[in-house]
Amino acid sequence: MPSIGFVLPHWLYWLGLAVFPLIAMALARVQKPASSESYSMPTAYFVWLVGGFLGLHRLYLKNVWGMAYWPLFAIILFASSVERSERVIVSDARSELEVVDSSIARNERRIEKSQKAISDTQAQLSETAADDERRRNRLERKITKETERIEKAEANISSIKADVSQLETNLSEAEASQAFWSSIARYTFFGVLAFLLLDLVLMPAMKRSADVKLAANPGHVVEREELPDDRELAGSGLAGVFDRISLFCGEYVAFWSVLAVFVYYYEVLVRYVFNSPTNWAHESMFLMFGMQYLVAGSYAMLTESHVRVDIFYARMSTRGKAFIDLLTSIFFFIFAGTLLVTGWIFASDAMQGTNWEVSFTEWAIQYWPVKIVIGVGALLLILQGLSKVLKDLAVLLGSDRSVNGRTA
Amino acid sequence: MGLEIEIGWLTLIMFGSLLALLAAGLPLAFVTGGLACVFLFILGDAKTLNIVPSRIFPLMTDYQLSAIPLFIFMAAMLERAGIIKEMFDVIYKLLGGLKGGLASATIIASTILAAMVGVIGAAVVTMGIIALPAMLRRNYDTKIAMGSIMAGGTLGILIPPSILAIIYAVVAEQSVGELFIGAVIPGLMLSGFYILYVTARCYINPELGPPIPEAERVTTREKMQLLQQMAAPIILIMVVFSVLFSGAATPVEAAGIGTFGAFIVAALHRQLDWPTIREACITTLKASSMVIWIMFGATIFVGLYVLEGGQQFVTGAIAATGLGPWGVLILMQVILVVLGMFLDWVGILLLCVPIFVPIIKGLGAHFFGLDSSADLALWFGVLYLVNMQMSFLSPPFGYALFYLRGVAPPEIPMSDIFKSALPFLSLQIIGLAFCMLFPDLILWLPRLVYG
Repeated sequence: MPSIGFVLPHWLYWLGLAVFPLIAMALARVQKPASSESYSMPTAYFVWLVGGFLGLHRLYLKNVWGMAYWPLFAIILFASSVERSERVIVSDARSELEVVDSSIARNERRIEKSQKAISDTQAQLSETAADDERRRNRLERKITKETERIEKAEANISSIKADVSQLETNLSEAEASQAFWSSIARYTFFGVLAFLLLDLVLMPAMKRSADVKLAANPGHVVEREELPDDRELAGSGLAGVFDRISLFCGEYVAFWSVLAVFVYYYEVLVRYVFNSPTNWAHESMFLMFGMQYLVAGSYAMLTESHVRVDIFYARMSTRGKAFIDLLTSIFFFIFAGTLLVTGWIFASDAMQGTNWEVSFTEWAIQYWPVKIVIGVGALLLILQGLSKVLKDLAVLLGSDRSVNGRTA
Repeated sequence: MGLEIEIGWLTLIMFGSLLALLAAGLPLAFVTGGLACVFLFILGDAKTLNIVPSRIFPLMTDYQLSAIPLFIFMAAMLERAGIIKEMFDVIYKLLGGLKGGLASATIIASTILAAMVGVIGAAVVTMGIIALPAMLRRNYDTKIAMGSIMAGGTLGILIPPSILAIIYAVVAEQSVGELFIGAVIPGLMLSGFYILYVTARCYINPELGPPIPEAERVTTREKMQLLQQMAAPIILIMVVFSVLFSGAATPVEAAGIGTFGAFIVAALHRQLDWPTIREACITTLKASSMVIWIMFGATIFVGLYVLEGGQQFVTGAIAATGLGPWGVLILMQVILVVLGMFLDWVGILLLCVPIFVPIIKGLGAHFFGLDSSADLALWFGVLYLVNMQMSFLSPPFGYALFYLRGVAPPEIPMSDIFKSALPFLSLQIIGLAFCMLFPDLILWLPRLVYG
């Protein structure tokens, strides 16, 4: 399989985070809800693009031939996983061969050394007087010992060489198998691609026949409950301005979750199909979610999503609630205020000098914007807290009707 | 200010003010966060407050935590696309012909639903809206009907992907995958208990849960069609589970695959459009931010308490009771149940787990007949999850009771809802006792998968 080495550039990451929510917000306002009575061509093309390799576009259009893609995809997955394990075997065999080479060289060096020792000893032997029995015996013993060493080293070398041929066959077998499964995966992949291109042409016809079938047998219509729209929660006046800021920022970061779906999809696909995991998918996503949590705090506060223990609280009157909320809001502002100030100190520490802080990973993404978001989240919380205070004051002073959009 | 306060008094002041502010209705996240800042200042000085962002930042950059919004997103997408409601209809039609069939169907549907969602609110509310009127219309006993909805709903925090399990794993520094797998058998066991109970009751006294009339039942052929309709979501669950359990990908990747699958399933059901995606995104945003902000606040609060020696204080206090290891374990479970009556589950986790887990580990694995402290940690984690289920059901303040109160017909008194929870609560106690006495119920499957 071709390997994919795409690394998300930093500028594209930040640009994507900045622009995608705007596009999604616009689309969500313009688009009409999907209809149960007909199939949509854009959805069909979308499914073709992201799930075509599983034939999902055909299944969407109620064409069971989509399942024909499943065995093909299974072949690709299997071939890729075999290739992955063969790749490990090949690299192990290569490093083992290197070890073998160095141990042969070591044995050869030992033989050389012993040969030199023998020739030296023989020279000494010829110089030694014939009657110096003890010295002659000693030198001869040395020669025998060195000869034995040479024999042993030679035996080592030959046994290693026997292993080498085994290793080499293993290596070439593994290489052949790797190449074989790699080409299987590649050709199946090309086959799937060819089918997909063909389907691209056939899809309008499939949609027409699916529509006809649907008209003949409408089945049942999915009923969806309407969710109350959070936008109705926005109050009036200054409180309303703060509310709308929370609503906008919350919705903005909410759409980031959609990005995560496609990034993880990409990561899993390139890892298991193309055997080339990315070094940026995980990091980019957990940092994105980290920023999302912080910004979402004020949205959750506006929509009363932060859980409270309402044993006593729920039984109080509206004015009682407003009063006690005002009292406890002191602790809220202590928290949010501390978070704002210390968050700012924390972020400014990351923005010292010329090299602003980046992560310690290969991708080395900028860390300081993530740290700035702590302060941003705290600021949004404070604004939302002020909005709540204004509303509570209005309740206590008796003009609640005009301020609260929807009683939560 | 740098005040020195003796730890016993500090415990009293910190948790006393916590309870007071909670009772005053300030959200838990802000109670813990605000008090943590106050006490940081009292015990240290203005500089000590800089701990706040440095405790929050590791949570923002935590890899495992990103599974939480992803799993919530998957469930929200399926819910907004109407697929969860559709699934109920199908299971209802399939099981309607049996005695007590609708109650069993509710429990089975909740078990499957639990494999899609990680929190319980959605399940209880959805079923309260769909299943309760359906059962009451067919003259089911109200208590059986409501009990099976609430008990089934609590399975969401036990059967993977459970949000609670992810948070537990992050706080106790354990593997998310192992906890997920460890909770499967206890979850299915409890689900089985509930079904056995309602079926037995309805067979003994058919008036409690009469089968639906012959005329309303569906034929086998229609049943096959209904099953076909549910094929896509069922395949999705199977894919997510097999990815989780084969260990091929991390839980976060499994969540990513699941969410992608939810998009595809929505498309196959002709429900994929931007307004739906927007609703799912916002539901996700609110649910995950509620969970994570409690973590932000509580991690500072509990971190401070542990730093001031709270850990040793609690350990000492427990040692002073003179209980053996089993006594300590049971005492902890009782504390958890009691806290569960008042506090939110994420809050309980963050307040108790950082203190309880070191104590349990300190007791030693051999006391409980386990081989290693890793097994002990896993066992305690799943016991904790089973226990938290009970906190949802226990009167007077269990969450499931109030979720159901919100959607049940107004003429049903609250006392009936309480009473209907009790038999299922006892089943949960039996289940918890089983898991304590037979640790293999929890440990067998993770051993099989991870070796």
